[in-house]
Amino acid sequence: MKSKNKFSIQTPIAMIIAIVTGVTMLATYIWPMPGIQVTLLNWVTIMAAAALVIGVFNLVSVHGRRVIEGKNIVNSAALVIAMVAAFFIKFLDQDYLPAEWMLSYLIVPIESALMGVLVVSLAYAAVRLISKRPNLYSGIFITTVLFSLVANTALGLSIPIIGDTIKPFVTHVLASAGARGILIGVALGTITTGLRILMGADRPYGG
Amino acid sequence: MNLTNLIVVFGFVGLMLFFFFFNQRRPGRHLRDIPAYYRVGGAIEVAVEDGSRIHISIGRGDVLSPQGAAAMVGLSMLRKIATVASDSDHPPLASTGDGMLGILARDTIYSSYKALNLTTGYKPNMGRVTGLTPFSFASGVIPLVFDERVSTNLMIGSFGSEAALITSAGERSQARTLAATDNLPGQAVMYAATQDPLIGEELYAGGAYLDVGKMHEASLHAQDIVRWVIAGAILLSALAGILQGLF
Repeated sequence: MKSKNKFSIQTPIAMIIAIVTGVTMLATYIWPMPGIQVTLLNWVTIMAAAALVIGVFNLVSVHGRRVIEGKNIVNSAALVIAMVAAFFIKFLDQDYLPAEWMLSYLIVPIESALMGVLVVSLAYAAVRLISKRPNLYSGIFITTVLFSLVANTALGLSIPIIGDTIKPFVTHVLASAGARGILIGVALGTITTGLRILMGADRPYGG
Repeated sequence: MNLTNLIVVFGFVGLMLFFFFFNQRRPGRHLRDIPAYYRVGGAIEVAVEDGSRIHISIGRGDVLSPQGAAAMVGLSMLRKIATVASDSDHPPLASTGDGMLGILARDTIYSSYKALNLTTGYKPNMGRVTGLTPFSFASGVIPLVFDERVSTNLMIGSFGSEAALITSAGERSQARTLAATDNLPGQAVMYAATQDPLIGEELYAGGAYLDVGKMHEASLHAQDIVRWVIAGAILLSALAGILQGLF
């Protein structure tokens, strides 16, 4: 489908502000100007905080609408009620004891339970990997995972050649070399993405 | 003056502009094969034709940190997909785990609709913040994948190991999942848990493969050149170290 290319005055203004601000910020890393850099970062931090509040409102509005529309009422109602309750408890109680109670007895156990689910999901995914993609890379992946799991136990560390030679070689040489290679690729991608935005080729601000 | 930063910036800009103009002169695209992107391109077309929904998760990358770049790639792909699928029966949905990304996602979808004169079809809940911590974000995405008839699940952004919960939901709802992240543990998880994992810098190639713009292709070529230069430099320095040790 072809764009109708409607002219909007907002587009060039947003683009100019984004490019000028981005180039100024980049320039402060080449020619150090701490005053400008700190001021710009402070502005952005304030905007990020405002965006966080907007995000919370978005979450409440989406789930509030789901409750009104009768879609998955239990989960959405629980989220909205818990969020409103947490807000008022934190807002009204200066001792923060109920807030601490909520953190210790609700949030931490729920997140721990999700980590437990995550472990099961990962184990299941690893088993499925062999049947879904039975190739050399999958074999290396699974072998390395199993080896690292075993080698990091007390028993694995006590086995002579595995514990003191092969395990350090795998984790310090092979794994860190691979990680560095991936991170170099990520860093290059990050640089080009930033430069595309500064050049106006990418406009994630709606322009 | 920081000369290294200056050289890196101008070197990259020069290479990107060179390939941008160079690619204009030669017909066709010149990209290495990343089958995951071809399969996703097909899945997007199928989703548009059969009226099912495409879900794009942009992750939890803070825009103020280097992780923001991964989220920007997700937003570029969201713009492309929103343009292609905006008049579908079930328009695309975006989910994020960061307030600022939520605003950007809604704005990106809205601007795609506006460019097509379809603003009446736009709804603000097409871009959702599903949670602000890793697990709450993942927990918020799971019902979205199940309830909204999602057939293609794109996870392009910054995700940690919580990605496994989302990919597992995608698998159970029989949605095709393409996943890429800049986070190392997240990449390991995605490699095991998705049909189409993308490794390392392949995340940043999405725009070039989905035809978001010519500059995406040019920047991919620039990335490739610099990567080979760095690889060569690492090998030479290792060789120099060995020779220094020998003599």
